[in-house]
Amino acid sequence: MSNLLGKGMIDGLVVTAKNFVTSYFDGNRKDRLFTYQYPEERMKLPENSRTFPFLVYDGTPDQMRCTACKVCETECPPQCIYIVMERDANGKPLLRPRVFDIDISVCMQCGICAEVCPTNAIKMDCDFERSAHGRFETLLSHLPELLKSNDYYHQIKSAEATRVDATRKPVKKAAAPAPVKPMPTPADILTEDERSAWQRGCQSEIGTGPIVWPPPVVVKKKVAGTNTEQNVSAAPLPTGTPWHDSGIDIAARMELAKDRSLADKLMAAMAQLDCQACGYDCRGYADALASGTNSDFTLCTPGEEETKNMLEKLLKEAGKL
Amino acid sequence: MDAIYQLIHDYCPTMPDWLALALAILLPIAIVMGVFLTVFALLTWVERKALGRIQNRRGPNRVGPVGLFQPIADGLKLLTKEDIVPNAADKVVHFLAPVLVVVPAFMVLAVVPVAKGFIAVDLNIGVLFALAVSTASVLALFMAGWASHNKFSLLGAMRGVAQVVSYEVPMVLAAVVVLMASGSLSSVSIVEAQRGLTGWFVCKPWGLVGFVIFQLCAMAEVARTPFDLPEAESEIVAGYHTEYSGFKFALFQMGEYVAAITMGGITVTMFLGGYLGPGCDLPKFGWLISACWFFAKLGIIVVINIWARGTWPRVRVDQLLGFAWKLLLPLSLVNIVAMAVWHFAPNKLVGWVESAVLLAVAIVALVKINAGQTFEKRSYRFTS
Repeated sequence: MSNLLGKGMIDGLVVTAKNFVTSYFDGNRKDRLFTYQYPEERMKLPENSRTFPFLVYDGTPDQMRCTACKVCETECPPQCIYIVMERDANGKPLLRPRVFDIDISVCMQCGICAEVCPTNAIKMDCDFERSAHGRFETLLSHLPELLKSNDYYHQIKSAEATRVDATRKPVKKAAAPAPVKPMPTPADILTEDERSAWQRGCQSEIGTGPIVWPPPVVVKKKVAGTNTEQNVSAAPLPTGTPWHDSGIDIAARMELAKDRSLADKLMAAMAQLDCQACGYDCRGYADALASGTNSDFTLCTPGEEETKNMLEKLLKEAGKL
Repeated sequence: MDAIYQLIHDYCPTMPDWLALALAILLPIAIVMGVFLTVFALLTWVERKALGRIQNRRGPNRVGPVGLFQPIADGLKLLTKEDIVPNAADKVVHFLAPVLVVVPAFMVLAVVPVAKGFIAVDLNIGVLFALAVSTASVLALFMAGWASHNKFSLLGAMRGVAQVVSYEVPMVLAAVVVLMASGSLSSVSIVEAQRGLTGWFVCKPWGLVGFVIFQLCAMAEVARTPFDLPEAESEIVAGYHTEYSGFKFALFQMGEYVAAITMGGITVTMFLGGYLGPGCDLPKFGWLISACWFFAKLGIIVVINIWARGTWPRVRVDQLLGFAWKLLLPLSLVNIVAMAVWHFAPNKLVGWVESAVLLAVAIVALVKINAGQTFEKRSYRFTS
């Protein structure tokens, strides 16, 4: 019977008829009619799916993880990221971006920015509904749109986000015991006139010569307990890291660390952001270079060429290279 | 036509003769075209839905309730598309082909009795007209392929010609038994000859074989899967309508679907008793009931077409031609003999048995003879 003429054709008809009829009974099962009725029905995207980058924040949007270290900007193959660091009124960097733009019409969704980010701030989103009517403004994402909460990150990629959270905590703990010593800012020690004079001086001197910080001015200051004004010299502290302020020019920083150990000099050459792009904070990277545990002097991305060249010079002078 | 002319005269005796005549001509055309274009639109929707379900999809369901307005959306989309004519094409023939492909499909409708007493023209050579006109579509098909100046188009057109010419022969021979049984070429007489409980020609051994042959040939003639070689998209892009876009493409699709419907209508008329069915002779609503019967039977044919399309893969060119010349042609000749045997048998039972045995033997013999033609199983040198 199995070789009966046309049996195969009839069998085929039976199969398709069964498929047709049963689809009306178990059609809601996704292994039967696997079409997703897209706008109403959405597929849970797999964790590995990725579209465009977004920035993670913890808690509130101003607690963003991004330190504006520009590693992603440097690494981005199509160069679609543009970052400007936030600075306070005195030009001191605030370790967060003022401008963070991603041009998603240029972005090729490679995920390299998320891979290189030292602070786990930039991650790949799963949002694919990004069509727009304009090629330019509408496809350029600015900081407010880019910022998304850690909860959202957990929502779209729970396993990855949990892994990230687990690696982030110890870093924070390690950083906590060594808080950056607050440097006296010009606001603390200068009078209003002097401060503006100093700022003008700084601005005029940029690129012309070393800026000495703190400025070698003798300031008149009220000393507590006495009513007499006393001459106080604002000399740098003999220990500590007075150069640990990215607002200071690299030449000035090197000047401040002139008489220090190799590790201190190396540290002064860093960008002073503690952004961890290199895998350490600035102190740690300097120690690692000085002790020879890490010989790669190109890791300080925010410092760019000048830091790299300075580190190379210092290491050569010390005979480490 | 005459009946409508009479009707107009009865209700409106003041109407001038020429107007009454024009109305009597145009009214049936309008009705038939309207009804069958609606059926065509519905058919595309039904086909896409059914094929979707067969292939674990949902089919169109976005436009209108359950996607019912999809054909309208498709039509609007094709109307607004750019019409591209290749530089090297023969412009006039390229333009005429899609027009001509629709014409024969609609002309066949003239002789299909859609309901009792409703036929556009009751030609006394109705079946001959239908068979002759439906074949004319191959001319349009070849015009399209040749005028496009494209090798895929030409290949598709050549295939189409070979296919239609080959299948025309068994198709006509399968229709011959019906003409022998009814003694007439008029489609209304053929339907009327099928009255009775087992009167439908499909209920007789020669009728059943004739029906299967005719149905297969009809599918091949309108180039539907599994016989869609002229437009085999996996082999020759879209065959003869590769170089057509926009509304010309829509006309090709329409011609194809309307031809499938009209061939179904001819099949229903010749083998399935046309508009006959319980209640078709009622004095008041007989015409409506008979129309329902006709369209129900047409629906069955259409479903068979869709079902076959969703199931069977496309045949090869050699299989296609071999099937027509080596199996269907001899079988339809035997079928005519079987019909003669049935006709001259002393009583119905003897005729039934004789013709059934004759056909069974013929089928087995033809299959055995053709079985030697299958290819050897291929063996490969480097596979274990």
